Amino acid sequence: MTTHQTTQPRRRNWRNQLVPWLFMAPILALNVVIILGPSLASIYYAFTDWTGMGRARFIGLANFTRMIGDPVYRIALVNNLKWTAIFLTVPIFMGLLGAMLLAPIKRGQIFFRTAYFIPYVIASVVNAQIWRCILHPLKGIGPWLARQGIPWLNVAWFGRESTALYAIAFVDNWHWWGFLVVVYLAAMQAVDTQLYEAARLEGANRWQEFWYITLPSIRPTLVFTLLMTVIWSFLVFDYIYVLTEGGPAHASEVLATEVFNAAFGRFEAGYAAAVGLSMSLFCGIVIAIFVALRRRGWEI
Amino acid sequence: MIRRRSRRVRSLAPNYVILILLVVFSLGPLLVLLSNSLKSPGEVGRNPLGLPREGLAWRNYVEAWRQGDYAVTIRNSLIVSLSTIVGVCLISGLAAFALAKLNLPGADALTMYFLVGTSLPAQLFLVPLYFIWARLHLVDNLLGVIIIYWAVYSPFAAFLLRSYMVSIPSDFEDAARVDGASEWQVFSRIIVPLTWPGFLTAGLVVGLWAWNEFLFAVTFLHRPEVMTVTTSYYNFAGRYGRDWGLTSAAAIIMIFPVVALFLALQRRFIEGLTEGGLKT
Amino acid sequence: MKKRLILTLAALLALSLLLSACPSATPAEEAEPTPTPLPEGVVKVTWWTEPLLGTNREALLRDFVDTFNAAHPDIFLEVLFQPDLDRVTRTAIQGGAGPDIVQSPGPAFVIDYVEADHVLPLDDYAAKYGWNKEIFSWALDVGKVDGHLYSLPLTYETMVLWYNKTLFDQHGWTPPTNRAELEALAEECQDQGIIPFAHANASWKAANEWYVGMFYSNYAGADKVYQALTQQIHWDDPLFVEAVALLKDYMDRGWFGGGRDNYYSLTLTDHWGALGDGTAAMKMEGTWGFMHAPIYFEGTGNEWEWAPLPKLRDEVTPVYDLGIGSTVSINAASPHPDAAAEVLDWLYSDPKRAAQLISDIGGGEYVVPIPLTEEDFPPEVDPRFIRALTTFSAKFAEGDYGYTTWTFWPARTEQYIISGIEEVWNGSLTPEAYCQEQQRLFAADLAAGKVPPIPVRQGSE
Repeated sequence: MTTHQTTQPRRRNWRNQLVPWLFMAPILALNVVIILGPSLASIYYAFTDWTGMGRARFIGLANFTRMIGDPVYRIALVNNLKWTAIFLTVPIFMGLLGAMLLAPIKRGQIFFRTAYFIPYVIASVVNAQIWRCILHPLKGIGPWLARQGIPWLNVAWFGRESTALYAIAFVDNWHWWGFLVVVYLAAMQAVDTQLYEAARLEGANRWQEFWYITLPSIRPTLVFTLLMTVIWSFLVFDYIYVLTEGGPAHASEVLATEVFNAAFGRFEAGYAAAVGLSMSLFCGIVIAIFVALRRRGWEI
Repeated sequence: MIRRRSRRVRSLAPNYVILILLVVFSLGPLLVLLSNSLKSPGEVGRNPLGLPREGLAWRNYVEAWRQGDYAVTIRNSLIVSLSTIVGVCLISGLAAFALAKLNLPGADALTMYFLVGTSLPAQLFLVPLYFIWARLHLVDNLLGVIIIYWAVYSPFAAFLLRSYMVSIPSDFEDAARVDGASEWQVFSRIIVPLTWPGFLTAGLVVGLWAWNEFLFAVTFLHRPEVMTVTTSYYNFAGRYGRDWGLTSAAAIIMIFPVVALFLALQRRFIEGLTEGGLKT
Repeated sequence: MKKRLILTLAALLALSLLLSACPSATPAEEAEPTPTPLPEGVVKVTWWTEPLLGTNREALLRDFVDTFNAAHPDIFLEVLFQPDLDRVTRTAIQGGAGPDIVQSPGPAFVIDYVEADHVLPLDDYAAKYGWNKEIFSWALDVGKVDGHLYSLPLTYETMVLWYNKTLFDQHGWTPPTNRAELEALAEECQDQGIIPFAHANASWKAANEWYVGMFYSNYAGADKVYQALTQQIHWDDPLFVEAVALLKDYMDRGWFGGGRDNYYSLTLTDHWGALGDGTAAMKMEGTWGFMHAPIYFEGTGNEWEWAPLPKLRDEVTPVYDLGIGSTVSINAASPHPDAAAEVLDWLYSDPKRAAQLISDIGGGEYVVPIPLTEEDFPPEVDPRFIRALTTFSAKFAEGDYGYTTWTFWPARTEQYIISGIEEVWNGSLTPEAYCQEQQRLFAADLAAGKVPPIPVRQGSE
C-alpha cells in the first residue's frame, strides 16, 4: 500500500518530464538528421586540406592559423561587425517607428502593412537589379540630379570601394525594415489596450506611452529580433554576393562570401569549413550572452 | 466599451504623413521593376530608369511565362510553400510551447544548440545531405526539399513563437490545468488561439522563404516537372546574357502569387486578432 | 474554431504531401516528353547543361537531342537545364549520384573529378569513335590527366577586339593593331567623350582575368606565357610585371568603362549596350560576343565588327588565345557509360550537324573544336562569325596560339588573378607583389598536379 502511494507521484513526475520532450521530438529529430549529422562531417573537414572532392588529409589547426593571419579574413570580419552595427540600429528604428505609427490606425492599415512588406517578398536578385538601375552611375538618379544641379549624389555607389558596403546595406535594409514593422505590429497588437487607456487617463504623451508601455510589452519580440539580427549579420550573403561578390578589391567582403569563394571558387573546402565554423563560433558567443541574460531573470 | 469613450481623441494626421512617405520609399523603386518589365532588352540598356519610350513590350510577360515554364513551377512552389508553412507551424509551435511554457530541462542548452545550428552555412552540409537524400529517393522530389525547409526554418519559427508565447500571462493555462486539461489541450485550445497572429507571422515568413529559396531547390530539384519558381527565375539570369526586360517580367510573375497570399493572410490576421479575445 | 483550424491544417498538409509525392503526375509542357516507363531495352542517358532560354534551348533540343534520339532507338537522351551548374554537379557527383554526362567549366576543373575517381577514362571510346581524327589535337590533349583522356571539349573560344563599325567609319578610325595606335585611338575617344573600351565586371567578376590573360599574351607574348606555364620562367618575370603595370595604367586613365568605379558597377547589359549605341567605341572580349552583339546592336542603326587584338609590345607577334569554355566527361557511377559515349560522339561525328547547332545558338556555345568549313554551315549564318571561326581555327591548327587563364590555369591561381588585380588597380598591391603571389600559388598547384597539359606552341621549347 505504502509502495503504491509513493510510486504514483513518481510516475506522474516521470510523465511530466517526458511531456516537454514529446513536444520537442519532431524538431529535434529533423534537426539531427538534416543539420547536425551532415554538419559533423564539415567540422571534421575544417581540420583537413580537403579540396571539396576526393581524399582529405588531416592538417591539424593549419586552416585556423592561416585564417587568423589572412588579411582578407580580417577585412571580412570587420565588415561583418560594421554590418551588425548598421542592422542593429537603422532597420530596428525604422521598424519600431513604422509599427508605432501604424498601431493606432484602423483605416488603411492593411494597405500600409502590405506596402511596407512587399519589398521583403521579392527575391534578392530582383531587388538588387532594381537598385542597380536606380543607382546607375551613367543613367540613374545620381546623374539626373547632377543635371538638375545637385552633383554630390552622383557616385557609382556599388563600384566605389569606400561606399560599396554601405550601398549594399542600404538596399538590404530597404527590403528588410518593412518586415520588422509587421513583426513588431503583431507584438504591439497583443498588448493589453487597458494599459494605454490607463496611461492616457494619467496624461501620458505618445512618447511616454511608447517608452513605458509599448516597449516593455514587446520586449521578448524586440530582443528576439535583435538576436536574430546579430546572427544574420554574421551570415549575410545574398545581397553582397549578388551586388558586388565582395568587391571591389574585398571592400565588401564578408565571412560568408569568403566561405563561398574558398569552397566553390578556389576549391579549398577545408579552409571554407574552418571559416564557416568561426562564423558559428561568433554566433555562439552572442547566443551564450543572450542565454546568460535570460538566466539572470530577463524575460526575453 | 464604456471605457473607450473616456479616450481623448488624438490626431492621427502626423502618423499618416510619415506613413505615406515610408510607402513612397518602399514602393517607389518597384515602379522601376514594373516599367523595365515592359522594355525591350536594348531599351533597358539605353534607358534603365525612365518609363518605356519605345513602345510597351507586353510580350515579355508572355515569353517569361512560357520560357520560365511558370505554369508548372508556380504549382510546385505553392505545394512547397504551403507544406512548409503547415509543417513548420506545427513543428515549431510544439517546440515553442515546450520552451516557453513547459518546464523543459536543458531549455537553455537547446536554445543554444538550435541557434548555433541556424548559423551554420548551409553550403557546408549540402554534400552529406545529398548523399543521404539520393539514397532515400528524396532528390527530384518536392517532399525532399519540404523536409529540409522544415528542419532549417523551424528553429527560427520556434523562437519567434516562443517570444509571443512568453508574453502571455500564465493565468489562462493554469486555470485550464486546474480544470484537468492535458498539455496538448492547453497548447491547442489556449496557447494557439492566443498566439494566432504569431503563427500567421511565422507562417508567412517561412512560406516566403520557401518561395524564394534557391540553394536547396537548385541543388535537389533537377527535373523540369519538379522545379520551383526560383529555378525558373534564375534560368533567366543565366551565365550569358541578361535580358532584363524579360527578367523583370519574370520577377513580377514570381512576386504576384506571394503578394496575393500575403493580402489573404492579412485578412485572417485581423480576424484572428478579434477572435483571439485578447483585448477583452 | 480551434478544432476546425487544426483539421484544416492537417488536411492541407496531407493534400500537399500527396501532391508532392507524385511530382511526375503533370509533366512540364516545355519539357521533353519522357516515355514512362521507357520501352523494353531502351536505356536513358541524362546530361545536365547550362540553362539556355528561348530559341537557344529549342535549337539544342531540336538539332542535337531530337536528332540523337531519332537515330538511336535503344537510347533515350535527356538534357536537363541546371542553374548553378558546376556547383550543383559537384555536389551531386560526390553524393554518389548526378547525371551520366558530367559537364565542367574547363579542363582544370576535371582534374579533381579524376583524382576522386568520379569520371571514367575515355581512351577506349576515343579509339572506337576516332575522336583523335575528328577533334583538334590541341583541344583533345587538354582533356588528359596523367596521359589518359577524361574529358572532351564542348566549346572553344578566343579573345578578340569588338568595335562599333558605324562609329569607326564616322570618325575614319581603323581597328588598332599595335600599342601606339591603340593608345592614340583611346585618347582621341576620350577627347570626344566616348568611352574607349566598354569593359565592366558587375555581371561577371571573372572578366578581370580576360584582361590579365590578354595583356600577358599581347605584351609579354605567348612564348613567355608558355614558358611560365611550364615553369621554365616564373610569373614574376619583368615582362609579366610590366604587362600588369600597363593594365593598371589603362585602368587609371579611365579607358575601361570610364574608370574604376564604373568598371565595377556596370553590367553586361550596360557595357554591350554602350558599345551598341556608340557611347563606347570598342571592347576586348571573347568570341561568345557573337551571341551578344546582334542583340545589343539591334535597333541602334549601328553595325558591329571584330578584329584581332593589337600587340602591346613591338617584339610580340599577335596571337589568338586558346580557350575551352566547357568540357564533358562520363560519370563513373553511370549505369550506361557506353550509351553516354554514344551521346558524346554525336557532338563531333557530323560537321553539318555541329555547324547547324552552332549557328542556331548564335555562335557562342557548343562550338565544338572540329574542322568546319563554310560549306558546313547553313546559308543564314553571319559571315563575320565564319570569318572568325575559320581564321582562328586555322591558326590553332598551325600551333600558333596563346593561352586563356580559365582553360590552363589551376582554379586557385585563377581566382587570385581575378581578385588580386583589383588590389593592383586600387594601388594597395604592386604589380611585382601580385605577380610574385601568382608564382607562389602556381608553383604549389603545379606540384599538386592541378595544371592541365599545356599544348606546345609552334616554335616554343
